[in-house]
Amino acid sequence: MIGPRTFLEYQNYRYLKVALSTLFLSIVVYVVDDPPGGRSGSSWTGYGLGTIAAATIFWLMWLGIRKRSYSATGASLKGWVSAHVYLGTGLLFLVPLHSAFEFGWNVHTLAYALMCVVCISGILGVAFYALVPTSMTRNRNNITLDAMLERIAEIDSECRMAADGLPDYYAHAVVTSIDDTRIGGTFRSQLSGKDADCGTSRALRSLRTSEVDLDDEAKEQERKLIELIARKELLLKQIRRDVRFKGLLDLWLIVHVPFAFATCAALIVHIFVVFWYH
Amino acid sequence: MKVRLTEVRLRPTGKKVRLDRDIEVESLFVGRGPDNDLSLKGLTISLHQATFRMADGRLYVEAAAGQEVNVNGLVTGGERIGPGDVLKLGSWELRVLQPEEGAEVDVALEYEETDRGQSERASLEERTTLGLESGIFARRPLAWIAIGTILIGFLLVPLFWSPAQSPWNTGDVSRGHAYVESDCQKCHSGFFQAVQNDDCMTCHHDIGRHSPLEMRMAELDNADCGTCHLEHRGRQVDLADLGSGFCSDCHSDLGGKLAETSLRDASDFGEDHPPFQLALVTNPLLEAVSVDVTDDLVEISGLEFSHLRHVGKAVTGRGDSKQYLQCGACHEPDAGGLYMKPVVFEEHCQDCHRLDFDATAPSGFTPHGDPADIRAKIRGFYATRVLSGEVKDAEAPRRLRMRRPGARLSSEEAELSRRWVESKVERAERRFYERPGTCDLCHELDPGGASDGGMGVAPVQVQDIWVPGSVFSHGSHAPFACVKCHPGAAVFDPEPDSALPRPEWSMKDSIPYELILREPTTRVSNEAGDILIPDITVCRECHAGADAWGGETVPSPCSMCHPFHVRGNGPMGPSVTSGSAAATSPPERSGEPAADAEPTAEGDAPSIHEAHSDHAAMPANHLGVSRDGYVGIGRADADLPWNPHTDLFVRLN
Repeated sequence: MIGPRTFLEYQNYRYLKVALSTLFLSIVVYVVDDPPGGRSGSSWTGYGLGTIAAATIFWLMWLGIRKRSYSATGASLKGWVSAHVYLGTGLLFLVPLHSAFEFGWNVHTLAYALMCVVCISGILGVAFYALVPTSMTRNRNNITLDAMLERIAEIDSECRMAADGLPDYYAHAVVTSIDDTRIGGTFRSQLSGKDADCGTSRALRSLRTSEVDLDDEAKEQERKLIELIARKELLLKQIRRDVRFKGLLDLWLIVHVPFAFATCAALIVHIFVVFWYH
Repeated sequence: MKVRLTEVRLRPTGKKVRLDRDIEVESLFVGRGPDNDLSLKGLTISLHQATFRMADGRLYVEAAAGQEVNVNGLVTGGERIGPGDVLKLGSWELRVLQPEEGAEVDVALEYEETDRGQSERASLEERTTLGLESGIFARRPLAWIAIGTILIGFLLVPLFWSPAQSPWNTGDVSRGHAYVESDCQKCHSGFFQAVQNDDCMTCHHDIGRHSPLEMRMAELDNADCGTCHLEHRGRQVDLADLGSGFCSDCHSDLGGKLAETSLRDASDFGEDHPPFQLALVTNPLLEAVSVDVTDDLVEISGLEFSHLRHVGKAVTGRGDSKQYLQCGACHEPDAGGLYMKPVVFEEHCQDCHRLDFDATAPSGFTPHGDPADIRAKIRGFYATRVLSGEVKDAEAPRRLRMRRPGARLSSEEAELSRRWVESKVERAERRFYERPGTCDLCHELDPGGASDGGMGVAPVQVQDIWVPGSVFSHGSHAPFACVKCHPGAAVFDPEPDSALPRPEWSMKDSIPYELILREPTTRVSNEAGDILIPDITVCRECHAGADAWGGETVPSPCSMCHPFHVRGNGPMGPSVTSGSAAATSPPERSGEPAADAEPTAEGDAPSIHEAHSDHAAMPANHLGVSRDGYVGIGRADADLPWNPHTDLFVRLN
């Protein structure tokens, strides 16, 4: 994973400068050129800005290929990502200049709307990459997710043993704690980082409110069981937070990539249509 | 009862071993607890799950209180069982067997942990779902779905089914084109090609070029319509509104761009616009001249008229009620609200100025018209009297007065009648033509000028549209009194009729707006030749340039008054020679006068094209032609360069 600072500051903000100067030039051309019928996407300025924007979009798509190509030579991947971020963000402003700020309920504005979703999800992605890993590391506290899961399995096993001689009430709680505890799951539950119906929490509640009469030996077992399940619950919270962080790092990409392809498709339709009915 | 319990164990090698033990019990207790006869591991099994019992040589299984047992897949509280039955307890399977021959047992039970389950970790893994993507909810399938949806929904379907093309529409078309909005090909006739001028000119076939043909301004005449008129920008957008800079690009320094022009530069109505010139056609076959308005400029129309003697007078009009003569009594706006209809004798003059020729005869008046016709009508009037025996005139010969109607005239009587009729005609003529007569009140007399050689009147040529290079709408200025722009025509009787309330415009103090700045009596017109067209300063009191703002003036782009496309210049398109232009585009009713005008031009008379080669000349456009088809006539000086009796007017259509 490339840390955001490394690509944002790449070559002393080279691509930020490129993006800003392109934008500045475009604004100047836009303001200076005042064709007789008024500014529009079909003026020469409009065609020019549109060509730049379309070419940029298709080039940005190329990152998806470039990042998989480990043998690639030329500019570093870091440079690519840096350019990708700054030029992509610049499109948010370049495209309205192309269309002379004309929008409507049509496939042309659809292309722009989709592109906005891509750009904004990308910006969120950068933000997530800047913020989430720190929290993620802090949450993990030097333990890997795998180790945490292993620990849960161990606790489950210990719970089974601890409950073996206890009445059914406890056996039932342990079975609940094991079988009804799910990690991750749906899109929503992964991103929420919580499980309102967690079997372990339910088991802990029922153990703490147990009214079963127990002898001393059994009471010792009960105490041990409660301690185990309480530890498991803490561990689960930690795991779920970790899953959530991981989800946040993945989420934007699930939006970014399909919408990027959707943008390309809409862009192709846009270009086809404006020349078909020129 | 004696029970043989056989445990089937799976060795790590995968081999199964059977371990038998025989016990004798009253009832066989089965459960998770260690105190059971058969203790089975597994938290899903109750401490005491079930009891096996013999009664009358039959084996029964009974679930412990609050528990259930699963026999052959059916959950039950207890039932009779026998060899072949299978019970499920947690991960264990209990099978009832037929006791072996020779074995001294009542019941044989075999138990085996069949559903050993996975390790805790494997089971946890099973309950763990990581990663947001699953099934089609993943980047790749979602991308394909998005691409497919968009390409099919917005490209393929619309390509083959045009009603689905509405998302292709970049914006609503302007109101005037809305009726063809759903039919893209109406304008976009060719695929992958811009809308052609021919597409526009299918409907706008007579859209005029900006400059006269001979100017050959290819840049303007061949330009794509779409260069200036951008469609699909919304219903309310005016395609003709091109902003203030459009005209001034050329017209701010036209001389520098077109050496041959004598048009003066203009770039802003408020600040940079020449004074109005009036277009006066001195001879329709020769030249229309634009003249500057000077104090000594007069219109020679052949009429005499005084606004001073009319406006503001209390008269008895067509009805019996008395009223003040106001502008509207003679000047009525035309149907389009642009200009004023011509003043017509019968409608606007006759009520007061009836052409009576015989005070003794109530029906003795003639319609307005050619003096020769009028003479013939009067002659007919008296001749009819003679023939019908209705001569009452005391001065008439007795024989005519005593005549019986219908009797044949003797030759002597005929001569008497002729003399009498002629004397009456002469008297009527004197009444008409001798000062203070009737006709000479308005007309310049022309003795011998009538078609019958008698008294005639000079031809009348009233200028119709004075500033043909622009469009002016009286209708849009209706809220303002006429006096605001035409003060020279506004006067009011200094001694008004006290019985009649005065019109509002005549009382400065009661005028509801402060726009009227001029006194109505500054210079009241007493002559027909007075030119009462306001000059540019009058317009500028309200109208400023297109970019004016501040709320006190009307921002007025060039197009408010000047149409870009002048129909009379021929249709837009490549410049061609004037001859073939006339052939390919026959002039409209209001179009070029060339085709009809040329044949009447005799000898060396220059063609209309040459006549109009000076751009400063009044273009022979639809504005330069009065609504009744005559070229407007006016003269800057009194010497007519042509003979009004023979040249007269050229009919254009």
